[in-house]
This record gives sequence, structure tokens and C-alpha cells, in this order.
Amino acid sequence: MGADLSSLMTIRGWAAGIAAAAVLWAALPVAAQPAFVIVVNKENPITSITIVELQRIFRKQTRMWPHAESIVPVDWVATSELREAFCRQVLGRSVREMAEFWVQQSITQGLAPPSTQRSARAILRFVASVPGAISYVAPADVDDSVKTIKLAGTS
Amino acid sequence: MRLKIKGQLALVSVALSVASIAGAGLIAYRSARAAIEDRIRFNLETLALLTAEKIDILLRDRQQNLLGWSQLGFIRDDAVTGDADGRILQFLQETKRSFGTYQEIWVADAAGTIIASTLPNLRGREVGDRPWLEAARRGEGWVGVPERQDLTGSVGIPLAFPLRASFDRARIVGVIVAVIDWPQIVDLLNGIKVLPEGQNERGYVVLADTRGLILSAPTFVSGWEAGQTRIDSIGLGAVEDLPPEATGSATLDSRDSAYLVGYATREAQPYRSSVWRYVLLMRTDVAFQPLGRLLWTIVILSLALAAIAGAGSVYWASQFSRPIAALVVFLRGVAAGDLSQGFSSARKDELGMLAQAANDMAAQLRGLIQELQHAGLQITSASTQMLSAAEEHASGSVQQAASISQVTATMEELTDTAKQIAQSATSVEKIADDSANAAHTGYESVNDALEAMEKIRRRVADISSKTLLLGERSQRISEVLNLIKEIAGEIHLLAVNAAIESAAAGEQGKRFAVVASEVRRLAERTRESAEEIKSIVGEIQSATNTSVLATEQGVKEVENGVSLATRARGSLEEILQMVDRTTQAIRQITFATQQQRSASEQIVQTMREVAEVTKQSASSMKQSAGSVAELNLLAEQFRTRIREFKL
Repeated sequence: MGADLSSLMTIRGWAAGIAAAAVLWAALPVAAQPAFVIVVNKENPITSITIVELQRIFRKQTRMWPHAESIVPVDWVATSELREAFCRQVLGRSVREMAEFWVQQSITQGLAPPSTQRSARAILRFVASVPGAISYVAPADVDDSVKTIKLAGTS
Repeated sequence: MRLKIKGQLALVSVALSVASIAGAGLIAYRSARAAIEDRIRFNLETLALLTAEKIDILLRDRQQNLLGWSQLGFIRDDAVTGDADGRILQFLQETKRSFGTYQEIWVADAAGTIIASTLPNLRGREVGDRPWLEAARRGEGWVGVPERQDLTGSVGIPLAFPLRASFDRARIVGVIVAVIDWPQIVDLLNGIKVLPEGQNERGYVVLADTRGLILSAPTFVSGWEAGQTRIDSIGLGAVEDLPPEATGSATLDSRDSAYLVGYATREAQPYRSSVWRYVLLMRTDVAFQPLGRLLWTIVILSLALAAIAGAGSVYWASQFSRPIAALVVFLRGVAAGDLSQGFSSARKDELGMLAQAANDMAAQLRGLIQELQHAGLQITSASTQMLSAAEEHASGSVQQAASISQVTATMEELTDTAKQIAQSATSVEKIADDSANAAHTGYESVNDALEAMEKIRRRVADISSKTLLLGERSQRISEVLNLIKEIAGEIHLLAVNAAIESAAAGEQGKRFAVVASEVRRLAERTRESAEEIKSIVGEIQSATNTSVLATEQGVKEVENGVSLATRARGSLEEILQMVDRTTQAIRQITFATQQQRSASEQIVQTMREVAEVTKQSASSMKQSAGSVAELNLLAEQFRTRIREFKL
């Protein structure tokens, strides 16, 4: 068990390094043409979030908002192009690699992946009705039922 | 005797056969009915139990399905979004298609708005305060009872489970409801065949709950609705009175007939909110139909057997009664004394044996009576002889009695004589005894005298010797006296000389002269005494001599006496022996006489008894002579009677 944990830590450190490199590499094109915006429930007081925080939330490593609300991350279905872009740019992995990551997580820690929705309408409704929810949609689909927050570190 | 053997036998056999067949048939009928009833009740009970199990499994299965769907992640997430993408609707429609038993399935959100439903017009409907919605808000599942549902418009059982948020189990985001199509369950129950096809109205299944409401009834019964109509309105109110056991069987009267029923009672369970009772009914006339045939068979069989038994017994009775009648005629002839006929039968059975026995009896009687006739003749002649013999005997016994009296008298005299001899012998014996005693006394006296003489002889001899010794001693005494006389003379001489000498000695010698004189006087006196003793001894000696002579004479006389006494003793001994012999002889005489006397007395006694016997014999001879005369008469009568038989 100890060996598993230490190897996990190693993997995490390594993953963090890769992620940082990916962010640096992707910074310019993302800043120029953002493929998605981060949305939260309107009651959520937060205004911005860092890449690292977003990574931790979508890996279910951070579970609570600073104002003591449970974080409910909502993902797109696996066939979605938007999800592929989100995985690459934020989590630094492909959708398939993330699926493998969740298999490992469910075996070692009993954690399930974030719930999924098929359409922007469904994601917006979900986020609007669940106070701690957080997700992402294409910029064109955003409406005023939810609140968009900035990614810190982008201009 | 009025009813002949034929009629009796026929009546008995008919009655017995009818009674036994009817009795056995009744027992068989009853046990068959009990066995059939047991079997049918058991079967109905088992079938009721199986039916209940089947419905239970079905309902539990449907509830498990619903529970599974309520756990599906996308349903829980899409309930949050109000089924924005139609995923839930698609799932519900597919599910309803693949499971036939669902009437409708819908999902409502936590606020009570239906967001997806297989019945299209329900979507978006506010359902308000429904019990299943209330239960879901409390986080509980819910099961209704079979009744008409206002949302679907038909009868069904609503099942519901809450939907919990996938990200927060404490949060209820909606409820999923499935209505089980009750008419399908009713069809299923009516498909269970209690009786073969075409007899549905005689055996069917009824399901009711404990409130007395019908849940399911057979198709031929109309005018009821599940959960609305009471069971007694279709005439089966008795179902409500069945015992409350889980399973059982009974008979009940209701509706149109008596029924055998088997039932199974199911308690309220998570998938069912009331107690249901499955009742399988079968009309008893159908159940016991095979017994009707059995009953008819028994009746016809018993009548046929009775007829056969009656005819058979009449035939057999005539077979027996004919030979018996013939035998009666024959036996009456025998009774009348006609022994000349015989009887024969060809039969080998008991009747044949009876005929043979009767025939044997007649033959035996015939032989017997022939012997009796012969014996009668012999008895007559023998009794005549006996009569004369008895008379002779009577006269002979009188003479005998007289002779015995004479002998008795003679013997009595002889006895008296013997008695006298015995008395004389006894007195002689006494005298002889006295003589013997006297002789014995004399003999003893002589013996004593002899002994005394012997003692005297010894004394005398002793005295003689002692006297001689005395003579010798007195001789010695005289010698000693002589010596003493000489010594006294010398002492006298010495004293004289001493007196002379003392006179010569003067004064001094004077006193000595006194002593010398005294000594001389003593010597003198000693001499005188010696002289005196000498004369006495001389006397003793002469007396001793005389005594010795006398003693010798005494000894001689004593010896003479002894010889005389010895001779007397010898004579006395002879006398004693002779007396002994005499006494002995007398005793023998006495003994012999006594024996003779007792023998004579015995003879006399015996003779008296003989006389008594002879007297009795004489009188009994007289009596027997009379009896023989009577016998003679009887023998004559007997001979006459025997002649009457026809041989």
C-alpha cells in the first residue's frame, strides 16, 4: 500500500510538470481563441479560478468551494469535441487517458468520474439548479441562467 | 317349523349378501370420498401456494427492476436538468416495451412536475400531493394497492422509488413511478386452471384482500372492479370467514354450490401494502363426480349378488332337504320297531354319512335285539335254577348255625378249665419262690457261721502262741529275779562289812554306819520283793500252761464246727438248685396256660362272629330267594317284549 501511494505521488508530481508545460505551450493560442468558458451557479461568489484549481476540481481532488459548498463538476459526454479540447488544454490529457485515470481512481479510492450531460442546454440547466455545480460550455451557448468565471493566468 | 329349511337358507343368504356388499360398499364409498377430498384439498392448497409464490415473485421482480433504475446515474443527473436531452424518456419507452407488465412509467422532479412519461400527455403535469411523492421526499419507496389510477385511467399497482442526486446522496432530485398493469395479473390468475378447459365456472381462482375487496375474479363473473367491489357482492362472502392461517383448505357453501377450497394468505410486504388471500375453489359435485359411478356400481352389484345368492341357496337347500325327508321316513319305521328295512344313499358328504350312520344303527339294533332274545331265554332258565339253589342254601345255613352254637359252648368250658390251672400254677409258683427265699437265707447264714468260726480259729491260734510266749518270758523273769536276789545278798554283805568298818572309824564313821544300815535294809527289802515276784511268776507260769491246754482243746472244737457247717452249706446249695428248677417249670406251665386261655377266648369270639354271619346269611338268603323269584317273573316279561320286534 505504501509503495502504491509513493508511486502515486510520483505520478502526480510528474503529471503536474507535464500540465504546467502544456499550459505554457498552449497559452498563446488559448488566449487568442478560447474554445470554452467556465460556468458556475449564480449563487457562487467566486469570480476566477486557476488552471491548477480547475485540474484538481475535475480530478475530484478539491471537493469544497471556499464558501463551504460541495463542488459538483459536470462533464460533457465522452463523444463531445468540447470535452476533448477541455481535456487537452486544462487536464493535459486525452479523453481516453482520463478514462484510464478514472478506472485507477475508482479502484484505489472508490471515486467516480464527474457526471456527464449531452447538450449545452442540459449542462446549463444542471449548473443553474445545483448550487455547487461547475462546468464548461462553448462561449456562444452561454446564457444568463449561469455565471461565467475567468481562468486566472489568461489576459 | 313353519318356514322350511329352503326358505330360511334363501332369506339368510340374500340378507347376508346384501348387507355385506352394502356395508363394504358404504365403507369403500366413505373412504374413497375422504381420500378424494383430502387429495383435492391438498392439491388446491398447493396450487394456491404456488400461485401466490408466482405473483409474489413477479411483483418482487418488478420492484427490484424499479429499484435498479432509480440507481442509474444518468436518470439521477437528468432529473436535475428536467430531462433536457430526453434520455430518460427514451429509456422509459424502451423499458415499457421490453417488460410487458408495466402500464405506464414516469419520472417526476422533486417539485412534483412530471418530466418524462411513457404516457405523453402526462409530461409537464403537476401531480400535486401524491402519497408516492411524499414518500419519495422522505427518501422512501412506495407501493400502492391495485385500484383505478387517475393518472392512467385504468387499474394498476403504482410502485415508486426516490431519485437521489449522484453528487449528493442526501439530496432527493426526483421520483420514478411504475404502474403495474393489473388486468394482466388478473389474466395470469385466470389462466391458472383448477379444472380442465370448459369447466371454468366450476373451478376458479379468486384473489381478495383482507378488507374484503375483490382484487381478481374469474372472467365469467361480471360487474366487479379491482379494489372497489366487495367479495360478498359476487356471492363469495364465505371467503372472508376462512381461518387466518398462511395456507389451508376447507369446504364452504357459497354462490351457487358447495365448494372445496385451498387458500394461501400473503402478509403485507415491501412490494405489497395489504394482506392478500389467494383462494382456489372447486365445486364439490365436480370433485366427487367419480364417486357417483362407484355408488351405482355398488347398488347394482349388491342386487345381482343377492339374486344369485337367493337362487343358489334355494337350489342347494332342496339338494339337502330331499334326502333328509327320506331319512325321516326310515327313522320313523325304526322307531315303530320295524328293523327289517335298510337305507342307502349315494351321497359322499355329511348327509351320506348320516344315512350310512342311520343304516348302521338299524343293523346294530337288529343284531342287538337278536342277542337280547337269546339272552332272555338264558336268563329265565338261570333264574329258575337260582331260585331252587337259594332255597336249599337257606335251610343249610340254619343247621350250620346250630352246630356253631355247640362248638362255642364246648370252647367256653375249656377256657374256664385253663383259667383254673393258671390260678393253681400261680399259687405253686408263689410257694416255690418262698422256699427259694428261705433256702437262700439259710445258705447265707451258714456262710456267715463259717466265716465266724474261721475268725475264732485264728484268734484261738493267736492266743495259744501268745500264751506260749508269755511262759517263755516269765521263765526269763525268774532268772532275772535270781540275779537280783544274789545282788541283794552281796549288797547286804557289803553293808554289814561297811557297818563293821564304820564302827572302827569312830565318830566319823557313825554317820556312815547309818547309811550302811540303810543300804542293808534296802538290800533286805529287795530280796524280799524278788522272792514275792518269783512266787507270782510261778503262778503265772502254771496259769499259762493251763491256758495253753485249754486253747488247744478250743481249736479242735472249732475245726469240728467248720467241717459241719461246710457240709450244711453243700446241702443248702443243692436245695436252692432244685427250688430254681421247680420255679422254672411252674412258670412255663403258667405261660402255656395263659396262651391256651387267650387262644380259647379268640376261638370263642370267632365262633360268635361266625354264628352272627351265619345268622345274617340265613336271613339274606331268604331275601335273595324272594328277589330271584321276582327276577324270574321279570325274565318272563322281557322275553315276551323282545318277541314284539320285527327282524
